[in-house]
Amino acid sequence: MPGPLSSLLNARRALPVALVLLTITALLPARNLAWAGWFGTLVQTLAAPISHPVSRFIRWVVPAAPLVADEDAGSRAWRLRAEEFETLYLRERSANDRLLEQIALLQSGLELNPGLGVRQLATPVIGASSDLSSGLMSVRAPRGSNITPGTSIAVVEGVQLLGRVDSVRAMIAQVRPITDRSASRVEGVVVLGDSREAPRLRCSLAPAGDGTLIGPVENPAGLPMGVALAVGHRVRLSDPTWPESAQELILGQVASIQPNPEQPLRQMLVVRPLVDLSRVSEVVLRIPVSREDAGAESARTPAPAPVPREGGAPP
Amino acid sequence: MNWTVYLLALWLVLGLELSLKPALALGPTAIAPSLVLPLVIFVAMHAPSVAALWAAAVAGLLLDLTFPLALTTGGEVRVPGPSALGFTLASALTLNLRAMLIKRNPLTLLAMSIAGAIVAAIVVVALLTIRATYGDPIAFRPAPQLGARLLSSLYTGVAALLQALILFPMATLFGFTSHHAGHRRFTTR
Repeated sequence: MPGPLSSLLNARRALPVALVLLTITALLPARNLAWAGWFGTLVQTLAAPISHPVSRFIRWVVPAAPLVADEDAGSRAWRLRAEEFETLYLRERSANDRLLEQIALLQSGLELNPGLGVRQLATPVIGASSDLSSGLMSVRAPRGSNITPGTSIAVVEGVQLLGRVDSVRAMIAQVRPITDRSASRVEGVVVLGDSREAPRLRCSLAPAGDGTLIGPVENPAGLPMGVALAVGHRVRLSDPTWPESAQELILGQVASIQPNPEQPLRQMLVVRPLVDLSRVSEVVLRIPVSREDAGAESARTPAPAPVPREGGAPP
Repeated sequence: MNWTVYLLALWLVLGLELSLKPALALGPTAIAPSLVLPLVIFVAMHAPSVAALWAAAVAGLLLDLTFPLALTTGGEVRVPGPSALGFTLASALTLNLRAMLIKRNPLTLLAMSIAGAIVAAIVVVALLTIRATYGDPIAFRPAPQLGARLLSSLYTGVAALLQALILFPMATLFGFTSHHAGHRRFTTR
């Protein structure tokens, strides 16, 4: 390749300079490397014409295996629908409880934060990191989508929580899955039954590094007769550090119950997500919008765009 | 060396690396082959030494930029350097050994890719570990990382063997001279 690039790349003197610069950047503190993210997004965008179609093809050939393997398409559709309505119901119930608390607070003269609406955006996964130790997932972030790091979340299969948006640059958002080693501990509840008054056990789960979550569960000693913690029970998010739109979403189902080595009277839960979160081809981002924005957006677009509050009006 | 062909090949394998790696990973582990490294080693086996080192640095830098490291404080950071330096060292290793190599044998690419991947893995883990010593908030655990990367190096050898079947017939497209390509090591006068 004749020209300045060729002469630079064949230059003997420039190489040591480049290597010294690379050594410096390799050791620079993270706070001084924000500029590298722009170049990273540029490289990912340039690689997307190859990585995106190949990813889609691979995930079509080897889809994320659902937990219920021998389920036909009809049953699966009904199960997903039932899970979705159960999630909506539980969220409404917890929202109702929260509202009751807020009313109590109002009566005592405290200020309230205005509630947030949620806009849903289906977006493809355009590739993983070049190093699988990262675990962060790159998804497309269309211009003007106003994805906000920290408060936007990603879900799959309607109700399975995938993770939280970690950063957004240009047209790519990085999602940190709940099962990634670097993800923080989450608080959840094990729902022991289908009824409205089904007992719940609190648990605190951390990523195990093998696609599961593991952590101690509340002592089930005080459960009513005939109700027991068992493999297969759904575990839902109930963590105040996560956005409202993520509450009651499914973290997974109990895969095994082990004795807690540190506390003999307590048990440890191993929770496996309903799908393999590392092999999803599309996610739904739930982006918080203010009520005013939600109203303005729905006025602009005739389509049923933002839901006033997530799950507020079941179809 | 024809840089246009090299950069096109690099673009292609980088795209494949970003998309195929999760599918090629062994179960839920981070053990997966590198598709970029065999290309770098292939170039180091045949290209002039300065060009080979540059090619390795560019490939490594692109991998660094597509490797978002999660921060314990939230967010992510791209660290340009570890893979670039690791790949350059792997390329230098190949350059030093290439006089003794049977360059037209695919098994040579396999062996050198494993060796190069081990060198690159050690450099990457070492540099990221040094960062952790001064309190950089990157979520990185050296011991499991090194284990996974060393096993990935062996897996990279398998990928290199398959890539050799594609890369070797393309040697002339890369503009490697017959001397560097090893076709005329013994000539008659």
